[in-house]
Amino acid sequence: MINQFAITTQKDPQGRFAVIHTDGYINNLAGERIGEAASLLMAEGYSRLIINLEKSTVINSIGISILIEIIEKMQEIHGVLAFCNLTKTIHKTFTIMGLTQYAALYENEAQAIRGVLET
Amino acid sequence: MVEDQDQGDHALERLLYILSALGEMAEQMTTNPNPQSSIRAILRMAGGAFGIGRGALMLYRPEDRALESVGIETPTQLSVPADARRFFIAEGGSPVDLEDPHEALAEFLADNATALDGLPRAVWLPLAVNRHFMGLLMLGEKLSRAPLSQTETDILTLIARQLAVALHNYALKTELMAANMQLGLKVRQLEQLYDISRDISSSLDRGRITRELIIRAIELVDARRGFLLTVSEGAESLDAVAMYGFEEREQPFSWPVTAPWIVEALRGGQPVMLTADDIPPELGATTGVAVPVTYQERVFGVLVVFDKEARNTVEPFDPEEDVPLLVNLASQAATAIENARLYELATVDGLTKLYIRRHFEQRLAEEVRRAGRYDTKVSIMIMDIDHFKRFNDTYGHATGDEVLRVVARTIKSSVREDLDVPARFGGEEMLVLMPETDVHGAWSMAERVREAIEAVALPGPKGEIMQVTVSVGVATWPTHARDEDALLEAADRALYRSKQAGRNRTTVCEEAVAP
Repeated sequence: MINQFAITTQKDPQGRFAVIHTDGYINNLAGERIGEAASLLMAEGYSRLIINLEKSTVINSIGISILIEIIEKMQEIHGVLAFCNLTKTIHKTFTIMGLTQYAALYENEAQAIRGVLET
Repeated sequence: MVEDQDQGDHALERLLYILSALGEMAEQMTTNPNPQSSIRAILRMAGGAFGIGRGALMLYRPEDRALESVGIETPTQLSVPADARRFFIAEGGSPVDLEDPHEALAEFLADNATALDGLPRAVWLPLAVNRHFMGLLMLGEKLSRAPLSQTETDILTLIARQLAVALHNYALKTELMAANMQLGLKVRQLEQLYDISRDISSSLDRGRITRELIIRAIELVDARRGFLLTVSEGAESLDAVAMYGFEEREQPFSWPVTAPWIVEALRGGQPVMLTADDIPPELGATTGVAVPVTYQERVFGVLVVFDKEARNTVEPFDPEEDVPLLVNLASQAATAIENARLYELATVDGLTKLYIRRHFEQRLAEEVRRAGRYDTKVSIMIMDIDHFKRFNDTYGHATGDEVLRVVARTIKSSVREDLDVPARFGGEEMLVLMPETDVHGAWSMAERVREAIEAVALPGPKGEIMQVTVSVGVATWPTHARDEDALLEAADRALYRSKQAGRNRTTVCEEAVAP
């Protein structure tokens, strides 16, 4: 089965943060696209990023690896990374892998925006 | 107590996650045919399973004893001294102690200090199998910056060993595929060579064998043109025959025997690669190969092909691929040419180059039998040069011989190649056997021959033009005779009538036999 994965980015008009919306299974190809989108936003000067996983229900080990890479890059620039709208499965995976210690998790996007702006 | 329980559950869930990632890695190793993308995916999976963001796999290249990066943005190479390679083989799969590196790694670390700065340095796992060093798996720190647990180290060791086996298998598979491809190519070339040899050997006609040799040689190595140079005892030059690809050229090429590459080919009996300096500009070629055609250590020709075609351009011939093929082909052709030469000696008249009477009679008997089997007709024409004695008496025997040669050449060029059998019957009498030809067809053919001979303007010794004509008699089996001897007699009677009627004419046998 072909994995249909889509990604969209939304930038705050005032340039304070950007949101990456994912749609579909996060495997190697999808993970690389998230990584590329995050790198691009960081290069544009966004140091507050939110990844909205509302439409992604599953993530594999490659996806986790790429998210770890994004976290490390954000740490290097002293930025803030947050995730929101996590399914139970993804939440559990993040907890097992310890990602929750390095990136904040929020119920929804509005909370995430508030959260990263306060940080 | 509850806290311990939670910690235990968490460790178990983490182990289960790692095991699930291991399953993904195993699937990747066995299902992904592309090693580069497979390695990148496995690196990522390992990173995801252990919470590591950075990783690199360095693949070992034995030809230059270097490690080359896979899976990182900036391509990197590391030189591997022999001590380090031996150490990595011995330690295959086990993490290298980077806090207090083994002395065998001192040179490796010093030589590659700059490049190593940009590479992950938390965990290094050498990949080795069966005393073969395959590469080095390099991982960065965990996101938590915590050291790997013993369980995680054990699992990484397992992954490294599996990865080494997968890489080794892939290397073997690549070698096998390359060997198979090479073998397939060789088999196809041998099949091609066999087909060509069979075709060439099936003929006893030297001209046809030579033409076939050139055409097939050109096809075999994708050359644009070529020819065969014939070697004659004591000659100062070699003449090109059976030229192919020189359609615009009217005169055949001739090369002095003193040309350095000809001397090399003739003396050494070995192929010679030709460069633009060896090839005269009028040939319009830049590269070539000359292959001596040798039979029992006697060089009787040089096969020369020019300009290897390669995607609308020209490239040099490959001494490893093209030349052995040409040498094999020339060797097969040499035997066929020698057989044809011996056959000619036994069946062809030395003066006129027409078949001798015995061969004609043998072919006539065969064709009569064939015509009987298939209910067809076979005709013969017998011709005699009019007043031939006058040529000998007036101009001498040399001129007489020249008349015979010219008449023979005209007959050969007028009859159907590869079907009719022209022969010298004796003295100035000549014959043509015409298989599958009825009376009307035979008469037409005879007239064509007669008219062609009449049209020849043969210069005499004093510059005068000598008129040569022939009288012809035609007979057809089974219309005029029941057997070969009777057919010859019938044609001879018709010839006699042509002579009686004033010469330079064709007469068909008038006496039909009862059916």
